[in-house]
Amino acid sequence: MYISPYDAIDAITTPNMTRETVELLKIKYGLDKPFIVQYFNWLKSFLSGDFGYSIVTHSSIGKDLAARIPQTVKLVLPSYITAFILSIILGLTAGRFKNKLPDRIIDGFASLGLSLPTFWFALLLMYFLAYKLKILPILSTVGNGSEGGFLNNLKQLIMPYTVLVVGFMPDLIKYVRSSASSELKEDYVMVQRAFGSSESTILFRHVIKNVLLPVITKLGMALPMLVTGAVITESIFAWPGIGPYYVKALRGMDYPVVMVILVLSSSLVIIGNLLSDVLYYMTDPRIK
Amino acid sequence: MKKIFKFMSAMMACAVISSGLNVSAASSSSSVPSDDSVKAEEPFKKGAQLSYAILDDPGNNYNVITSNDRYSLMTVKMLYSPLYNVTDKGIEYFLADNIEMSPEGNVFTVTLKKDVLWNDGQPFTAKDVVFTYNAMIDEKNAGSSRSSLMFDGQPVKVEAKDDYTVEFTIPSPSSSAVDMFAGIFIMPEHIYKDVQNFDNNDKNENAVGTGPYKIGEYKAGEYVKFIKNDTYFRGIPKIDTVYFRIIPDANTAKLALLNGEIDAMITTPADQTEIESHPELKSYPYTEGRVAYLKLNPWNKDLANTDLRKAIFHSVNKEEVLLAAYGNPEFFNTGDSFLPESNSWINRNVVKYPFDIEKAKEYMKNSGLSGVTLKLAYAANDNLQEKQALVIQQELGLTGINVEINPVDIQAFIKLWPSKDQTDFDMYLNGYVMGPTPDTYSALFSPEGDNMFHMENPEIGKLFTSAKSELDENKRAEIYNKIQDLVAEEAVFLPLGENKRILTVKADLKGIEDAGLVPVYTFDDMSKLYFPE
Repeated sequence: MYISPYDAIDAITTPNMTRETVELLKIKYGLDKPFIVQYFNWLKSFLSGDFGYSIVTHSSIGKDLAARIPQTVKLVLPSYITAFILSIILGLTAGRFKNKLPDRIIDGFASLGLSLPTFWFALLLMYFLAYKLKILPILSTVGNGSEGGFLNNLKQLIMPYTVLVVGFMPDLIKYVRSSASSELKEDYVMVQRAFGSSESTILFRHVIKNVLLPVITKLGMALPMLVTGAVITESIFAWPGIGPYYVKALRGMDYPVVMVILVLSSSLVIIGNLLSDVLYYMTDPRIK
Repeated sequence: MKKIFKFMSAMMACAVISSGLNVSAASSSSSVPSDDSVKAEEPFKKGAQLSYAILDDPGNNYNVITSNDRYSLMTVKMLYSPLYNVTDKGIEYFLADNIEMSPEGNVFTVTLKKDVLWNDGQPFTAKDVVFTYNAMIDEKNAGSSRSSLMFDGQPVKVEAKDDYTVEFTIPSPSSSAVDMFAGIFIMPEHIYKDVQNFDNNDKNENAVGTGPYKIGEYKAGEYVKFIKNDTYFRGIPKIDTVYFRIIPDANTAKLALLNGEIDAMITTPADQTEIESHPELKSYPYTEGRVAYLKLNPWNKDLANTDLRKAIFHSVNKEEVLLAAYGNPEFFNTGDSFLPESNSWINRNVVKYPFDIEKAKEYMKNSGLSGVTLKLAYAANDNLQEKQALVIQQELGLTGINVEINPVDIQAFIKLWPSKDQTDFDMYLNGYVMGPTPDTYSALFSPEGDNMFHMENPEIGKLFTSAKSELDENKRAEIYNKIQDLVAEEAVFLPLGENKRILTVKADLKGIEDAGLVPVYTFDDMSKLYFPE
C-alpha cells in the first residue's frame, strides 16, 4: 500500500482543495513520514490496545469491528457448520458409491459448485427468490415499517446462508470423497465386511474416524473465515459484517483499517493451526 | 514533482470515483422536471419514513470541519446548516438573512437569522459562526474548505459585530469572496469549544446541529437513522424518519428499489428502461455540473503539432460519443466550454471545433503526419467511459488516426496523468465537477495555478487574476468569455459536454422541486419532501 502512488488522502481530497491543504492533511495523518516510522507509530498504538481511527470516515476502528465481527460470525458460523456436516455425509456417500450414480450426482454438484462464481449465484438467488417470487426480503426490514423480529432476521439470513453453504461445500465434499474412497480400500474395511458388518456401520462408525482426521485439520484452518470468510457474499447482500468494511478500506487505501483486519485474520490463522493440532490429538489418541 | 502528481491525482480520483464529488463552498442546484405536486398546503402523510440507498458506510463520526467523503457529507447536510449556498440561480440563504459587500469590495457583512435554535435548545448566534470559520481556517485542523478562505495567502478575518451580525474582512477586493464563504456548515461553539481534535471525539457521534434532522441511530454497515428536528428553522420536516441504507452492491440496491424495499437511490442511464416498466417509480435526471472531456497530452511529439490536435477535435462527434454512454439525449448536453452548460458564466460563442470530417482531413493533411497511432486512457471500471472510448476510436479512424484504447486502473490513471516526463498515454477521457464559481476553474486552467490541463498561454493566468478582483459583473463576464476562448484555442482540452445524475424515487414521493437537487448531497433541503396523505 505504501508503494502505491495513491493514499487515503487522495481518496478524500476533493477538486477544490489546493495542494497546500492536501499536504496539510498528509502531515496530520502522518502519511508524509517514511514507511518504517508509519509502521512503528501504528504498532505502538496497536500494542497499547488502540486500533486507531479510519482515515476516511474518522470512525473508531475498534467500535466498528465490535459491531461488525459478530454479524460476520452470525452468518459464517452456521453456514460453515452446515456445510461441514453435509459435506461429510455426502462425501462419504460419494466415496462409498464411487463411479456410480450417487457419486456422479454428488461429485457433479461439487464440480459445478467449485466453478460457480459466488456473486453470480448470489445475484441469481436474489433475483428469483426476492425479486420474482417475493418470498424473501433483499435487505433487513429496518426502515420498512416492520422493524426487527426474530422471524424477519431469520428470513434475511436465508439467502446469504444458502450462498455460503453452497460455496463452502464443494471443496470439503471433494476432500472427504477422495479420502473416503482411499480408506475404503484399506484392510480393516475388508475385515469388517468379512465379519458381516453393514455398509452403513462400516462407513459411519469406522471409516468416518479415519476420514475425519484430515478433515478436522480443515476445520481449524477455517477459523480465519470467521473474519474474512464472506467478503463477497456480505457485500452483495448488504450484510453489515467485515466484508464491505474491508473492501471499502482497501479501495480507499485506509491503511489503519486494513492493518487491523489483516492482523486479526492472520492471528486467527495461527490460532486455527494450533486448534487443528489440538483437535487432531483429541480425535486420534495415537498422536501424542 | 511527485507532490504535483498527487494533487492532480486527487482531482482525478474524485472526478472519476464519485463522478462528481464537489465540496466547493458553493453547490449548484438545478431545475428539476416538475413533479406535479408542489402545492404547499397539500396534506401529507404523518409518521412517514423514507429510506435512501447509499453505497458506502459513512461511519458515525460527522464533523463539519473534517468530514469529506460523499456519504459523510450527506450526513452532515442532514444535521447542520450553512449560512448560505451559491447556486447557478444565485444565493440561497439558510442561517443568514443576507450578505452585503462594502463599496471597496473587501468587507462583507452577514446578517444572521434570529430565533434559530440548536437541537439541544440553545440559541444560534454569531459566536458559532466565528468559531466555525476560525476552526476551518486553523491550519492544524486541515479543514476541507480552508483553501476557499485564504485570500492572497492570508486567511479571511471573521468577527462578530453583535449576536446576529458577522463581518468578513479580506486583504484586497475579491469578486468571488461571497462564493468562497458559502456552503460551510456551522457547528455549535458551546458543544465544541473545548474539543482539541475535531476528527475523533464523542461529540461527533451525537451531533447537535441546526439541520432538518437529528441523528437517531447508527448501525455499522446497516444504516444511519435520522429523526426530524422539531425546531428546524425552515419548517418542521414532513417525513418523520429518514434512513440512509448502506448497500455496497449497486445491483442489490437496484433490486431493492424495484422491490419497493427502499424509496430512493441514484441510478444509471442503463437502469432506466427497467425503471420505466415500474410505474411506481419515477426518475429525475439533474445536472451536477460535471464536464466530461477528452484531454490531449501536449508532450507527445506528434501531439505537439497543433494541426493534428485540431484534426482530432474536428473528428469527434460529441453527440454520438455521449449518446453511446448515456443512451438517451435526456441524460446529457454536449458542450464546447470548460464550464458546464448549467453555469451562468458560460460563453455560448466560445471557439468551437464542430464535428466535420472534411475539415479534420484537411488539418490532418496540413499536419504533414500520417499513420499516427495514439493511446487513449480511461478509468478501467467505468463502463460509461469505455463506451465513449470505443466511439472516439472509431471516429478518429475515419480521419486516418489509429487509436489504441487502454483501460487503466484508477490509481494508475492518476500516476499516468501527462507531464514532461510522463508520456505513456496520448489522450485521456475523464470528467470533473467544480461548482458554479468560475474562479475555482483557475486550478485547472491557469498557468499561474496548478494548471492541471497544461495551458501555455500566460494571458489565461493573468485574466483569471484580474477577473478575481474585478467587481463589475459585466466586465467580469467579458473576462471569463475571453478565458474560455483562449482555453479552447490552445486545443489540448476538448470538453464533450455535461452528463446528468439520475435520482430515482417512489413516484408518490413529492416535494422534490422544493427540496432541490444538488451535487454531492442529492437534496438541498430534505425537510421539504413528503408523501401525500
